[in-house]
Amino acid sequence: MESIAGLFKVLLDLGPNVVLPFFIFLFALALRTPPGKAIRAAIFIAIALIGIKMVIAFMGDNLGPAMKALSKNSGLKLDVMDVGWGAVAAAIWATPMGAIGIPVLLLFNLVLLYFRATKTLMVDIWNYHHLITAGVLTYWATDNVYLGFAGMMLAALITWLLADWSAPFLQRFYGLPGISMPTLSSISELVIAAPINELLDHIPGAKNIRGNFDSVRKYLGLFGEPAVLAVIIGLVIGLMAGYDVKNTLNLAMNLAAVMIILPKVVAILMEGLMPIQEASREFLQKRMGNREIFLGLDSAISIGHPSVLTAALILTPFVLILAAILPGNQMLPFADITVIPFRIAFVVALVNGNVFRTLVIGAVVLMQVLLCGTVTSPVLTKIFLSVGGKMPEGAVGIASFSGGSLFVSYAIMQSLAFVVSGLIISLVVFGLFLLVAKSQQQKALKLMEDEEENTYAAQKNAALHS
Amino acid sequence: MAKRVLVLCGNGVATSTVASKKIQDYMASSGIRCEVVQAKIGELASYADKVDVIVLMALGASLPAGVNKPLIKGLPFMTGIGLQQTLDEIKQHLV
Repeated sequence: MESIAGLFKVLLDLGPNVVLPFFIFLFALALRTPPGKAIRAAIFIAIALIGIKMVIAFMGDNLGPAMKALSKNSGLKLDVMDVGWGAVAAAIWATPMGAIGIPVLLLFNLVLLYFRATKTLMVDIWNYHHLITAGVLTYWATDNVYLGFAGMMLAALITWLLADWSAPFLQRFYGLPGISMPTLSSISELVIAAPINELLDHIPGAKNIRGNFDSVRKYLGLFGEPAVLAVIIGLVIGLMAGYDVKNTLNLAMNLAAVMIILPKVVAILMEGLMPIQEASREFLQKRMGNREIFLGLDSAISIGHPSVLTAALILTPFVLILAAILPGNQMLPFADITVIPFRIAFVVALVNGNVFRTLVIGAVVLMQVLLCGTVTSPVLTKIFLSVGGKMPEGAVGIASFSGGSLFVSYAIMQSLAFVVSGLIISLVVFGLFLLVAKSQQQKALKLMEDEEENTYAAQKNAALHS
Repeated sequence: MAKRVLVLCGNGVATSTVASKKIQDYMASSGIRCEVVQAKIGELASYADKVDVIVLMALGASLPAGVNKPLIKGLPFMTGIGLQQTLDEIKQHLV
């Protein structure tokens, strides 16, 4: 037992730009990747980690002082910087647990499938980072390696069970038989969405509103362009911070650069992980034979429904205003403003494309994201600094719409660290979810039967034949 | 001029990287010159009329009015099932 903790320390000392590449190399070899390819993968991982840090440092240099001025000139105390899910994922992969997490989760998934505890085979190795994040957050909140691993596995178990639970209506809605989507950043919000949806079922009046926001897409379409969005945010922050015209315009352009370059650097991480992802998928698929399973894919496939995009467009300005007025929030949304579709994608399926309900539930989800993000920011910031991140001047911490901002990760971390407020909130929310889970699942399926024309599968077929 | 493939996903990061690499590798090994562009779903309108074929990782994005481009579903890039057919289908639009 002592030796495991000791090994952990030695690994930490190697430095973050070495640990993950080293493990990826070994792991790739173990999965019989040719050495040349394995070396390339490892180097690309290191490049991505370094690149992400560079972009985040640039962002900090520009956004940090603006946040400080914003607080001084407008009284808005938004001093937790949203560095984006990619930067959080990179920081997490760079911790020793990040590297060990992949094989542990692979085996854990196979064991659970073997004992039929879940039907989801998560071949989407990339999104293991959400599960590992829950573990690393727990480790830093408790200072206990074993609790860290317990947190990671608990996150995996909850994710796969939620994937099983949501699979019937997601399959039906999207017309994807045999698929489930164990992506924590989308599935976590169902824990909140299901109870609210049940509540809406019981409110007279709210019951039958569907909402038709087609024109919103046409007029707000420009908001979907990340570069334009970043410029607008930059201009607003600059003006509110009391910057002069020159500095405001420069802030806007610099933020646009971050918005476009950051995902490109994160994509290098994916490029490095690709040999592992491919080999792991084959490894898992080979071992499953003919058993009936759900192939667990990235929730990215569920983005693109008109209701998801429409609701996301409306919620984008909303979350910025919300950040300013929500008591207790300190996060200034920026880099993750583009991931709102991922947070509400499964909600759209649960309510069969009803834009009104997606908006109501989405608004609550975003409040939760901001508040949980603020609460868990100190721990995340410690992790970020431990892997060589630089604290931006003018900010007290970092956060994102991912990591501890996801309700499931927040609940696991706070509960295992025995934070009483978090423990109570977690028990209440999960209790409510369990209470309505069965009925919500059935209602969603029934709704899709009654209003089949609203499912995504039906709309797609109609589009093909028109 | 080399023809262009647009690979579209939710974030322009994960699934579209996998698909782009596989398309590039396959076209290179088939001796076909092409340019692969990776983008987010919100950027579709800006790219749609500048490419020859669109691969959707985010299923079901709809094209802007007046733009008519072949759409190919990218699911096989994630499952591995039917991948060869999908690559061949993309290839048809590039020669």
